[in-house]
Amino acid sequence: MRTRSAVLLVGGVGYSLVAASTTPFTLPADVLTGSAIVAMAVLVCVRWPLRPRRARPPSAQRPLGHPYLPWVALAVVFVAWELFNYLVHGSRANHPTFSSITDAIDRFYLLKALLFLGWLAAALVIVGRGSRAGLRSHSRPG
Amino acid sequence: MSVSTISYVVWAALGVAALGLWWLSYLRPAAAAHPADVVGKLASMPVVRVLFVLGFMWLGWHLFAR
Repeated sequence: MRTRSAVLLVGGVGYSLVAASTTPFTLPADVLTGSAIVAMAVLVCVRWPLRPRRARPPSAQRPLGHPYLPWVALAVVFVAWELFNYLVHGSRANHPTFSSITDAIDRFYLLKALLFLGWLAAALVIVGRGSRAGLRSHSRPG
Repeated sequence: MSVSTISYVVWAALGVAALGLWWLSYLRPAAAAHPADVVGKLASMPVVRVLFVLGFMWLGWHLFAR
């Protein structure tokens, strides 16, 4: 397990460093980003069950969804703020969107590599949590 | 305070709120679910999980390729 984690970490860091050296709207950026997306799609198709069973609440006392509400609220505020900045009249400098902020981050090689690594790591978490084993552990009463 | 400063302050507040919820999920899991559990919840919903994965793929494409 440790070996697998180490290989994933080293591979992910190496891939991120190479991907971060590419420039958007070029073939290398398309290939490296697209390959990661295809790999995620393949893993999802292979490891996710065709029909997931609904997750049960962790306990009878706890209302379903309650611990998720703060995240839902944050997501709603995030989307509303993103839409406001995207649609409001004025310059992008005055009304930065999430994309324009990440564009600014992408100008720094190491920050871009970290962002790419974070995206890869999040993809692994998504694949793992949606897999048969991940869904079983999620729906286990605790 | 300029308009851009206000915008950045709100973005920063959203980032801090996300980190705060993450931290809270370790301290009081009943108050805020761990991010991985949020993903697990989304992945257990038949239609939402497809939209979630497609959205995540699009995010990577948008941030790093286009």
